[in-house]
Amino acid sequence: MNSDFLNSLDALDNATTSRREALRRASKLGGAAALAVTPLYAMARETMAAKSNLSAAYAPQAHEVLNYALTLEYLEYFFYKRGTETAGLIPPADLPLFESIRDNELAHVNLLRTTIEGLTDPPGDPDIYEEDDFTYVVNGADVFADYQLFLTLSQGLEDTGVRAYKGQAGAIQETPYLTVALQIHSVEARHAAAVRRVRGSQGWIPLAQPDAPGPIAPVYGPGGPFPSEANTTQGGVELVAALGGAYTAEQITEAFDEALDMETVLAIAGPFITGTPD
Amino acid sequence: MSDLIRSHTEAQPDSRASRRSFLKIAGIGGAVLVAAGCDSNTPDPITPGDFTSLMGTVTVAADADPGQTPVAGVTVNATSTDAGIQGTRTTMTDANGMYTFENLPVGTYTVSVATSNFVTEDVTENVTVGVGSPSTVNFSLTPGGDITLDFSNDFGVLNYAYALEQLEAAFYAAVVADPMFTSTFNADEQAILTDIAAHEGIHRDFLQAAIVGAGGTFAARTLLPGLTPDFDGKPTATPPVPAVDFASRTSVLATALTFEDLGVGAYNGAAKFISTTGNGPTYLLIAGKIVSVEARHASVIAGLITDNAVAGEEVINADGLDRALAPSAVLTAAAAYLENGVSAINA
Repeated sequence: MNSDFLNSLDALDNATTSRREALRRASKLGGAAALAVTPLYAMARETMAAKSNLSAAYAPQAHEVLNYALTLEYLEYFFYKRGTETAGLIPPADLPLFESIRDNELAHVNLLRTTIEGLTDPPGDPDIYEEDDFTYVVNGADVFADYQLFLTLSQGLEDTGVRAYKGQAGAIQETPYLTVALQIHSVEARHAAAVRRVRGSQGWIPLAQPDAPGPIAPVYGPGGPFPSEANTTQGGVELVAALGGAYTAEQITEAFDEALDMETVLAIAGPFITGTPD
Repeated sequence: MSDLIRSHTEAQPDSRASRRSFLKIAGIGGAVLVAAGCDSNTPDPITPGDFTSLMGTVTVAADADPGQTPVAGVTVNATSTDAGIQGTRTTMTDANGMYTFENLPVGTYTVSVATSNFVTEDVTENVTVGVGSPSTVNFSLTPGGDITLDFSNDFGVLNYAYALEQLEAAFYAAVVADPMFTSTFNADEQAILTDIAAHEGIHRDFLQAAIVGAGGTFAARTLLPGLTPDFDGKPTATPPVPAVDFASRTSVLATALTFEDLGVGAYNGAAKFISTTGNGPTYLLIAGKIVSVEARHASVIAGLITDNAVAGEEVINADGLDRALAPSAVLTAAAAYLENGVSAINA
């Protein structure tokens, strides 16, 4: 981050620092324990609100959210890049799927990076990662040595991505980035469903995915103000009862994907992000 | 027609004999009334220049709205083809759903009510002369007909979603109810389609409940009627839309992918219309919860059609983005599967 930018908007700097701090702490803690990370982000939000007059051109959280999305897209892109480059990992029948997902993720990286670089007032500063900034290890095992483990993490990353974008919709509702974020969000959901099918699962999420392998179980849990995927209350109405028992709780939970807050997402993603962005 | 006639509170006796032989009045309220010559074959006991009034109330039909809420702002037309009248006068219901035609030349009129989101109704009324004996024609409107979605407030977006979910739910209900369902699809596909049918039914029922909960009503045209799906194809549309063959795996899956990809693009394109205050952010979040499930459906269906596909052809662009479709484009596509005409305003 260049110093001029720091000087120009310390509110934004606070927010960005908090996100990196959350990442740093998450990668140290690792796994489910990382869910207990201190909600620094919420504190930064209050700081930003108090200093919101510093940025008339665009809301500071838009920059924050775009970089957050960029980080997650880098995480996914390098995961699929390495997966598709690892000889013998992905069966030939499945390879076209993962190549197309990889290409979508790269397109998302490039689009988000370009978007952030295009911010001018104040200037945008994308968090740029390299391939060796990520380590894809689950329970001590290299995911590129075990196709089932690779699929498990793929499902976890995609389902997390869907929840992560959804969790930021409110923060960028009044910005020009809402629609494009949703256009990425639904593509991540398409990926998630396809990968789930390769794993032999349903394309949608029943309850809080009770059969989820341990390493990705937190993906389906609660986070911040958001309920777990087992939630059956929408718009303040408990739907199993409100719809007259016509549908089961499992069907209702499948019909709605839940959001996830930034702190929880970074706790899940953090253990895989071992480097720091340029 | 018989229902409408029963709805009259003061049915008038036949007054065919009162038809005017000659009448000439000025246009009132912007309507055009045409003067005509004598009809010497029909003795007329009424002197030229007699006028009466016609009034009534427009409400929602009791079976759709037990409170029979008045419908405000509805256009009411009174049209006569009588030789001495030949014209249409137009008025509009007030806040209490009431309308009045004053100084109406006596004769035979067809009174009609037409507004979006209700089935158009008309009735022929023989208006008799008589000071102090105005005719009354009441209407009780059935929600339906051509629909307009007004995107100037959140009801527009909610009803837009409700319309699309109605269509999807009706489609999958027909898919799983088809007698050939268990032979057309293998067990895996049956499970998928049965799941999706439930999800779309849940979306539809939830949205209806949410709209009602937010105060949406038929009378205010803030609650969409039940739409009438039409899967028989529109051969004259451009491009032509083939009928859905529910006994054909190819036809069902192709239609399903069309609906799912359309739904994803619709939600993505509509989010920007949701208000940023009040319940708006909540609606945005809920729309997000639904759209990703639609995207999951689309991906699974695409994969059933083509190995490793996650979307229809050219749905995901070079930037890796799904579509964000304008309401007008979505409604045009959806109209191919609806008997109702559909349009959007303020979008």
